[in-house]
Amino acid sequence: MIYQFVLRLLDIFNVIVLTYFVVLNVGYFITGLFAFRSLRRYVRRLRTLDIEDLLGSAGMPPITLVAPAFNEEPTCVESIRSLLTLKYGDFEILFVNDGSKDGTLARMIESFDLEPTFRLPTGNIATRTVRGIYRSRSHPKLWVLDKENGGKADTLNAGLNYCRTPLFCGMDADSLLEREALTRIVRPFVEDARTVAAGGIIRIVNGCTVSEGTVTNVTLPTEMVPRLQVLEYLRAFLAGRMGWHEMEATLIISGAFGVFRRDLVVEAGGYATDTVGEDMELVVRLHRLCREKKIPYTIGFVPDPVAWTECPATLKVLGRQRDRWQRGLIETLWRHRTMLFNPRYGRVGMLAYPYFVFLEMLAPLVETFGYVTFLAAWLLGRLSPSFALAFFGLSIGLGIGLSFTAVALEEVGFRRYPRRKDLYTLIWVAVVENFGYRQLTMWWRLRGTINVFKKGHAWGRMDRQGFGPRTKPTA
Amino acid sequence: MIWHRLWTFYLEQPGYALVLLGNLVFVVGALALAIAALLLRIRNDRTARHWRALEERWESRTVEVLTEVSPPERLWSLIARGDELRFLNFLLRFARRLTGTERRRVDELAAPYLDRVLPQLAARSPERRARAIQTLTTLGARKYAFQVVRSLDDPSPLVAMVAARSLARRESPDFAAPILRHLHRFGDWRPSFLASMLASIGPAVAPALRQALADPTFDPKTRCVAADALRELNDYASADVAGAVLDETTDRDLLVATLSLLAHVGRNDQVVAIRRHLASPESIVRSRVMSVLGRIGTPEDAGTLVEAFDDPSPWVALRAAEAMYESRNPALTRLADSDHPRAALARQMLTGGGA
Repeated sequence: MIYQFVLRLLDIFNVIVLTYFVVLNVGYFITGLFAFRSLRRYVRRLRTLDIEDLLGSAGMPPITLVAPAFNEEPTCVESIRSLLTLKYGDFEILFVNDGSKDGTLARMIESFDLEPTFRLPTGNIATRTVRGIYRSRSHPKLWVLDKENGGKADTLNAGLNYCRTPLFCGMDADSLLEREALTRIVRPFVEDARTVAAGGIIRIVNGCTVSEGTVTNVTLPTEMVPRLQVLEYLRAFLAGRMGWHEMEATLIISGAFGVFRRDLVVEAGGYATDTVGEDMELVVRLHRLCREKKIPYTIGFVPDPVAWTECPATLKVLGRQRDRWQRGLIETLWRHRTMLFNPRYGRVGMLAYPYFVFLEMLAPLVETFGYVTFLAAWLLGRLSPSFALAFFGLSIGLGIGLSFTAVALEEVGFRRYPRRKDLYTLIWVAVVENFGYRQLTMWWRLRGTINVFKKGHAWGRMDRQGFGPRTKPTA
Repeated sequence: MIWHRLWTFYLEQPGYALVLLGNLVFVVGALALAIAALLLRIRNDRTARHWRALEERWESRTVEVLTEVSPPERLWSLIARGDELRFLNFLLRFARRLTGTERRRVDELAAPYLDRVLPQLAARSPERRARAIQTLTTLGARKYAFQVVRSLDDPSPLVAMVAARSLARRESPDFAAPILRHLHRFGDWRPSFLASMLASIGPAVAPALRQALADPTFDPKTRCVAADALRELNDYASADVAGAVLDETTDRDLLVATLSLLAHVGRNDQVVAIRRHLASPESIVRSRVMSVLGRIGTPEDAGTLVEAFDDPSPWVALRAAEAMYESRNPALTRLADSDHPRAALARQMLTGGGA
């Protein structure tokens, strides 16, 4: 009797899991279609843009780059040198040292001839104490804040308090922005005064040649772990965020590169310090603020301004990163749960929010559950080949299809990997990632789901190699 | 045998059959995408190689023509039928790098082919129309001005903006009026960007801008843009118009733009009207007043600037400190040496860390 009941239950679970995968497929497929449409139009539009002309315009709004740093000694100098060469009219850099335990501050002082100075805070977001303010004698655009350790969000808030320009760019201190990245990412703010935030694309620098803070030769990394992440980033940005941008329901702007209207972020209270997903949380809060106060606004994604970032090279560090991302996602979605299926929040509440709750947040649970029931059905001799085909077809086929879409979108759009060999590799990686790596990612995300109850919002530990050792051409 | 069992199963379970079918469609679609990406790459590489080779030939000949080593006909003889638009794109890139006589020669080289661009103005895609406008205005000088001015009415705001920017770059006052008339079409654009575009026409545009600023029938945003453009042009003749706007308007943004203009072009005798806004509830207005008083204020305003140091808004205090620094107000040094909560700001100004 109980055995029969368990079997029946297994059948029901199988149907639920399959239905979930069907919905997931359809969701990704629709996002991909929107992304394709949006990207094609964007690329055509780029041809009408004379970037030099825009750069020469006095009407481009001033920007402050807020670069929070914690133990960034190996990369901070090269990153800041790269930022100082950005092609943009009016910008300053606020490098915020979050009480690093290594020699970050000393290296900055030595490399940029910093001197202690004063600067009036214009915001009053509560943060840990700012211990010192420095300005570079050799590069007057560069300011350094040294503060007590308080986490990334606290560090960004400290920078925000000292920001004087109408726009600020939240980024990682170890990212390399392309020379024209600021001009490109600011375009939405110029073309549509309602724009309150815009995100750029993050690409992986591992494997590329970096010379004087600029990526000069783009190639795929030789190691498998970073390679897999290149594909994941393409999928997340080109297929995912581009699609959501087209649907006017952008919910995530990467903390590694996003530009925001300072006044609105200050009004919203700055970055939340009690979550590890402060970047997504801020965007969701901006949506809420603008909708609730009836402020006309848009939040978008721009696919061509690139921030190059170093990705984890080992599974251990990668696992920690994914764990954090999942926790950040859950914390944000839970905090703003009132938006779920709430027509007051328009497409964000009715479309993007449910998508992220049911198809992103719950995916590790459902997929793991699917594998468990699959295994149980097999052990109980209940596994039919037809179900096995349907299950694997949907779960594996989905992964491959989605990755191919991202690769195709990259070809339609930007072709940043010029070697044909790299294209073949990406296609191959799109297939093999489904056997082992994807399940591992699910496990990390599942672990993040469990860990969400363990509070802790310190910086994610990342073993940096610096840009130097990897600058040898791989070709 | 297994196929038969599968077939029977799916006949009995149409739900699974549907899933499998969807699955197949999805996998075939994914494969098609991968093949498409590969074919796209092969095609793009081939096209890029072809154009690179062609442009290398054009480039060496273009340099010869520009340095008057060869007549233009030698370059034109290299342009095959069907390559004309590509050749114009190539010249566009050249044109952006050159000035003076060489720049004019580029226009001459483009002249025989520009009529081929005209049909593109009727293209369905707004991006293609915008690109055509860009080509015509960059390489076609005044010959195509009529078509470009007409494009200000194009249903696509992108095309209208490209036309407006192209016209502004011609630096001719004739185009100021049509651009101003169409400014409402760019309502979404950032006002400072529009102002910069108008100012790029040059001082000849100032009368039209003054008129727009003075005219209350224009919407406040257009008047703000006009004020910002006049500020960029440092148009001293607009001081009286700005003074009058200050008395008349209650629009916050227009007030801010007008005060910013007065900070650049205002006169001492206008400070009375400016001081009236010291009590504005908007901190951005008060901060702009500080900037104006720093530039054109009288000794009477020294005390006002010191008082502003206690303003609840840090922005007002910042502008007041800047104003004191600019007007060499000795009170700034006293504040820096005092135990005032914002003494650090005064020190920041005096050590050159501000502004």
